[in-house]
Amino acid sequence: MGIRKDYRDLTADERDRFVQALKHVKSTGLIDRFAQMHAGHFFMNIHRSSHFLPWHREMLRRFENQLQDFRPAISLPYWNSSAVRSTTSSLWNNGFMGQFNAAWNLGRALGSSTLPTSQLVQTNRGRGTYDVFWSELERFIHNPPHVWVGGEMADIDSPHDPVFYLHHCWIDKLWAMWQLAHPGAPFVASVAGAGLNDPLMEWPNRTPASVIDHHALGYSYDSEN
Amino acid sequence: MEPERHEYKGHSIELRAREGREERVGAAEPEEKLELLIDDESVRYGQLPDGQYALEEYAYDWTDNLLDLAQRFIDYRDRADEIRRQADSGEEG
Repeated sequence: MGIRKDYRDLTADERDRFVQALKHVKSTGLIDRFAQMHAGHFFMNIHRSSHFLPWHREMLRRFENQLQDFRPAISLPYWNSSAVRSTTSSLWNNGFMGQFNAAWNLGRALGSSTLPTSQLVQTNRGRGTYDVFWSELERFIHNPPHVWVGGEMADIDSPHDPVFYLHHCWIDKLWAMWQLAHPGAPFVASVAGAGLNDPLMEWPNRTPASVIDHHALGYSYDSEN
Repeated sequence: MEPERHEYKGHSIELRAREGREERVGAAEPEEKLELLIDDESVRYGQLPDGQYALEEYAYDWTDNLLDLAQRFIDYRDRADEIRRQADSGEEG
């Protein structure tokens, strides 16, 4: 089982492998295809919907699978934006995510907004029902880092910026941790068609039920409690 | 509707009925068929499942008031431009 960990805990080799794999999937067109797919569904059921978390979990899983086709040992790393808040942090080094800004013409403007606080994240983790949890998580923890990075990351086709995947990996981790802390909490549909067994946009044979158990998808997080 | 025009921090914001609206109105057509212009340039936007607006270029700030959203976009764009200018001057210096 792959273990997704904080990008700060990657070894130098793991960091280099991940960067090389990103360059590879850019060259194959995958980065741009996923960005267009995200843009195409942006105003549908993938945001402001109970399918927000499952849809992005499926997207990340598919992206990670493509990286693993290139380098099998790779797992997506995450960016905890409530802890790593500086525009000069190692995340943005030219040896890591920094190099993609100019190379991929991302137009970042780091610091364009305010990142979520760890207090907000803690409060959100304590929410007792899925509908309250995902709605607050999406709006107040997921949204601000998109604007804070700026440029492509603030657009509907934000997966053009590879930091999208590190950001969403953290959002997925928060969901995984919440699920483990609230094992009896049912999936609550935001509207008809956004339920546990309703198809996800783009992948009609996949539903939230298909992705509800991230361990069954073949990965875990470095810490889950 | 009559076009609505506002000034905000030296920028113009206009909301007007989209040209050709009658031809496009159909059963599945969302009701957001106002055209938004900032400094006379059309700005693309959409509506999320709960009816809130988001701009395609500024997609992660949502509100049910399109004029308010346009103002926030202007603030963001000005801030981002200033950050990029500072970064560029730092690289040159």
